[in-house]
Amino acid sequence: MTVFWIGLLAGLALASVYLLIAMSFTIIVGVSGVFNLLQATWVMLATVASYQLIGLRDWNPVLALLVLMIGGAVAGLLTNWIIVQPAEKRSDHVIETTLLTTLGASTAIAALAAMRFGSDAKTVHPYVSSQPWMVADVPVSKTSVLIIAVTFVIAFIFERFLHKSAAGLMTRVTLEDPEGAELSGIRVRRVVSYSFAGAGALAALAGWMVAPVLAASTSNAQPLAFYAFAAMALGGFGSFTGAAIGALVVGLLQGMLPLYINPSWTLILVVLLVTALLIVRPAGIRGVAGLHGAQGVREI
Amino acid sequence: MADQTATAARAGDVESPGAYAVKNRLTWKRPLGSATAETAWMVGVLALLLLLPLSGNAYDVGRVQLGLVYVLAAVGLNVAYGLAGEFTLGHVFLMACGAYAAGIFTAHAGLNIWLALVLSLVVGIVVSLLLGAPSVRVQGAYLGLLTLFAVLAIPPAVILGERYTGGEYGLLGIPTVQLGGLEPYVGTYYLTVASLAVSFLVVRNLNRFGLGLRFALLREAPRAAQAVGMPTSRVKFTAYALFGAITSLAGVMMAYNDGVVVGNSFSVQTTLLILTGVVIGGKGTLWGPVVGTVPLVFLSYYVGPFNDTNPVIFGAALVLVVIAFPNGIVPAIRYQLLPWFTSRSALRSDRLTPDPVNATHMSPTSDGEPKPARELLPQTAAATESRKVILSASSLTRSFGGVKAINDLSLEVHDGEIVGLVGQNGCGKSTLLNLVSGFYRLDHGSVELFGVDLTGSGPARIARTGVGRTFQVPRLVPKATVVENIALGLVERDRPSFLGGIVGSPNVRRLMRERTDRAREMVETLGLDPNIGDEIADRLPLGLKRIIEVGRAAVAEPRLLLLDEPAAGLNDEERRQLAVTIANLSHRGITPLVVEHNMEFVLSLCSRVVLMESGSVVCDHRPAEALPMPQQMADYMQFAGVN
Repeated sequence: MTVFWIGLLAGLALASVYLLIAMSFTIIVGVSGVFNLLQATWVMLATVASYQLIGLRDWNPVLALLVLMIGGAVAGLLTNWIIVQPAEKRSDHVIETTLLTTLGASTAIAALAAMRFGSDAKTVHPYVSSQPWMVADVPVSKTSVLIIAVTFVIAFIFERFLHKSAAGLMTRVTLEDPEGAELSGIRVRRVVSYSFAGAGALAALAGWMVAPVLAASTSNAQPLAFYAFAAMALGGFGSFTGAAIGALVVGLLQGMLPLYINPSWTLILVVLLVTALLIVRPAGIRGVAGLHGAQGVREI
Repeated sequence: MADQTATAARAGDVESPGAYAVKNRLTWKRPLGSATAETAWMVGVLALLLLLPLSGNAYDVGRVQLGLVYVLAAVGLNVAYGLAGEFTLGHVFLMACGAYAAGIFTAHAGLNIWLALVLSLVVGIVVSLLLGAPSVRVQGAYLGLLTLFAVLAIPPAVILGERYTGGEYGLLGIPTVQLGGLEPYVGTYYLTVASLAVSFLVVRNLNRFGLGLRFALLREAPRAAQAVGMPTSRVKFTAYALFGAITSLAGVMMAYNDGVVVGNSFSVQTTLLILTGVVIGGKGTLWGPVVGTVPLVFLSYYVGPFNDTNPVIFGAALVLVVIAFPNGIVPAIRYQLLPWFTSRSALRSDRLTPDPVNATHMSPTSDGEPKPARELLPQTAAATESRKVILSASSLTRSFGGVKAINDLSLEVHDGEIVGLVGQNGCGKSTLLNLVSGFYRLDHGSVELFGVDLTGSGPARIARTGVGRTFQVPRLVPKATVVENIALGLVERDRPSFLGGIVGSPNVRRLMRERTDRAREMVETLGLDPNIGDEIADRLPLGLKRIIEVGRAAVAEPRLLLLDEPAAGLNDEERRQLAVTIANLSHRGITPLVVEHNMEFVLSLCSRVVLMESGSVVCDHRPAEALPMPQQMADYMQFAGVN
């Protein structure tokens, strides 16, 4: 039973990280329809930078986090200006085209990082004491608790922002209907820019938090992109509640399956699960059917 | 120039007329695309490849062989992604299936390499169809991501199946290819060259003889594909099968060349190499995958195949090309660079002379005073009544959310009538067309067409029984010519056999010629200038696109023709011509049902006008009869601004 609780806690911590990454994807998918694969690259770079700054140069972790989040926001803005907007202007199939450019850019940047920092995984020491709390006879990792707590706070702030503030309302309107938002005076391009910046900062935060758990490795970007995609696909693209449900499922599977079966099964099972669910329910558990692809469907 | 602008604006053209005039004469000159030039290129490349082993350098031959494997996979990916428009990135997954299947069949099961080759292709096809299964429900980015990430499952799967796959050490013991008395490395090489040549020819022929146009319609306008009666799933899965066969063939060749299969060969980076090749070369073109992949392969040899520089360059190339040449290099050369070299002078004169296409799209009518098209029809009320009922819709109901778009509506249409369906916006006219043609599902009620109950049938099935239709927003293949677009209306009538299409049999060629001839006739029936037949559909103004769509729907001689606002965006002269065209079609035994807002057009054309209000028929009127017009119809006409 101890094993179960350890697995559950580890799974919840992973789920929290995936939720943050999936949220950073969702902000952009929601506002512009773009699945920006570079989000996972920023997470990976943030883990590497955490190792470089905190592990090697002994920075204060909180200071490092601030720097990383600013860097992530800038990286997000640059993504939008250099990789996404020029491609959008040149194509009718915006979602497909930007998927190609962000795939190209993310692979290129990951390879550059591997050339500069090496591709082997490096351990990042926990930011809080590695001495676990003991609840009954279950060791409770302080890092896991920190991750879960931070994610809760972020998700709460985010929910309040979306539903209680004017800026949140604009974001939601843009999410529902970009053209209508444009017509009612919302500067959609600006909202999109902000969303890229916010998503970049969120990705940096996720990378900083997950570094002590996953270790810093330049080869992490692809699996992270996949698990975040899986969370979003299960929950439904463009829905934040959906992303939370999906992240919970994926995180728990990844945290607990290896305790019972060969760890190699994890990724295969998640691929099969996502495929099966998308066949049965293309919109995911909570998603909007054909979000951003729905235009034109009624006009036959 | 000002005059042109006015004409274009009235015709509903969205593009600037300047760009329009420059582009339209150039695009259909295809200097590299002519059949002779294409054959010359193919023979030349093949000869070069066949001569290579004479160099006697086993290392170089082996490396070129591996390069050809990637080109082969790119040709395969181009079928699904470029031609059929399925955004699937599972090509490396399929290569892995082919390679491991070939390895297991030869090394473990001890089959000879030929049998193993065939069986591995079967495995590839089956897996490809399975991978394609989600595509029925999932499209676009979801499908791309799902298939992209499937590649990540290969390494753990290889480890789990260590008994068969050899795990991390690789699958060993694959026999060498014995081809005549050739050295094994030459034998493998020639086998790969043959695989590439055959695959390339198959794709080229299928693309040319019918399947290519069907793919294009499926890709660009899936609903229009259903409207011409295409079984879209079957066509889509044909593409997946071909994709699976060619990419798994590439995997088999990889296994035979290396003598070992290693899981590391199949990664997101390999995916990126092949995908980048297809995209930068030009997806959907014949030569694009070849032209795009070859330099990338050379590059990877130059820096070393497992060097991190590769993904950096491939990734950067993908970004730059997608932004600079969204359609790829081959189309850029063919449609921009070459015409720029060959016809700069022609281009200038084109710009100065008024554009014949923009001026008027219709050939001049002979008689000066136009008469109502209805008068062309030799029909009386009595004749109409006695004719057969071809459409019988009873108690149709359909709601969207809480709104009853169609509410207990019944309607009969008789052979030989021309029915106009009028009513205010939102009264359910288009919904009715969509219900009758099977695009929307009925909540209640039944639809009987030509005496057969077709309630609940899909749009393609209904189309094949003899129902043609157009759309409010025209759905054409933008890069195909007008004649090609119209000929698409016939592709499901005389579907060529798959094998015939592969070899380009005389029968298939004849069918293709017949389709083109009938499409040209239709251009004349539509009253268009015959030269318009060779225009690229994309360049035409919106109103004319509607007319082309009428042609596509009518060319197969359906018995019932559903037209959704065909006259919108036409000028007076063009509208009169359209009325004459519809009357002519009616003479040929096609019964038109026209949704239209322009009452003068409806009254001049239709033998019967049906008025709808809030999802029901409120008035059914025959203008030819001397009866007084019902009050409701008169009210609506006043509303529509007709006296």
